[in-house]
Amino acid sequence: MVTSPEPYAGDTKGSPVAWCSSLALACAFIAIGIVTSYLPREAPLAWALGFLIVSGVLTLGAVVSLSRRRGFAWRLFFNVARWVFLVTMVFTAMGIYIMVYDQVKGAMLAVISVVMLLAAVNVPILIAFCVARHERVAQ
Amino acid sequence: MPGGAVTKQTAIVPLAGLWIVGAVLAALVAVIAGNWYSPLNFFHVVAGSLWTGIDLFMGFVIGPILPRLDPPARIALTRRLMPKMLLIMPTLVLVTLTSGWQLGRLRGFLFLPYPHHWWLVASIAIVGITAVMAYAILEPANITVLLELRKPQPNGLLISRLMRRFIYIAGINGVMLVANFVVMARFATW
Repeated sequence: MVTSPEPYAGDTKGSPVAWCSSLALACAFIAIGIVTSYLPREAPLAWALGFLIVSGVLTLGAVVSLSRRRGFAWRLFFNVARWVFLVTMVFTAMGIYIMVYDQVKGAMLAVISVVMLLAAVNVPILIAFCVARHERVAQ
Repeated sequence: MPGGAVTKQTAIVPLAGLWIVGAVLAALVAVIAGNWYSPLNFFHVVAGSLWTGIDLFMGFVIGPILPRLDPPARIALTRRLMPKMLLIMPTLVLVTLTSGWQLGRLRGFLFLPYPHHWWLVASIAIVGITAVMAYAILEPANITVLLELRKPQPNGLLISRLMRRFIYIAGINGVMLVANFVVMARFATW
């Protein structure tokens, strides 16, 4: 019996990198939501801080899982990641501009700054990983 | 040979479009700096409507059409459409969110008391969910398809799978953004 090779339809298996990065972003956005929900009062930082810590741990999880990948299209990953990082920096620059312009301070400033940092790490990782995972490289 | 009409290797992002994006962002920065209410409103309404409209169009108009096209026509359409999406969508998102935040500050929507404040929280939640879906699914699918189309022998199966995913998620995002319109309609009538 001759078996023809299965046509390749991409790597769509659940991956800890994608899950950790997506959830890290979700937690970061929840932290912003919590702080915003208290406006114009200063939000109690405990919940927002909790979500930011979870987001940080998930980010670390994404980086560790990514570094353990074998047979991965690293060149494509970094190629995509640097451009996505550039776009993320444009978003960050606009965010900083608004914060400075609006004279944001206190908990809001702290939370938005950390969220921007987390986004600057997670967005390039998530997008570049989800692109590069479909590329087949010689083992 | 309709699908093979575009054979030369072109840049992934239409570079000429970067000038337009730069001009739009520069205008937005100036409008925010000047605290100009009407132009801020213009930016927010136009960019937000386009963002929602394009997502709905992709999900509910292009989505059902694409699988019925011949593979070469499908590839030709994708090859021309996706580079533009890569430039248009992030710009619309950035303009909508930035001008919306400033507009909310100017009109006092950020500081409404509860229960009105729930509308603001709902809006932020919707935008957060659509952002995560865009980062995790839409943008990777868009870029992967573009890179695949640049290869001498693109993987049609992978492209059609990712395009299907892109269009479904764009449709879901569009529906969520319509829900955000409900919030905005409430704001506009206060």
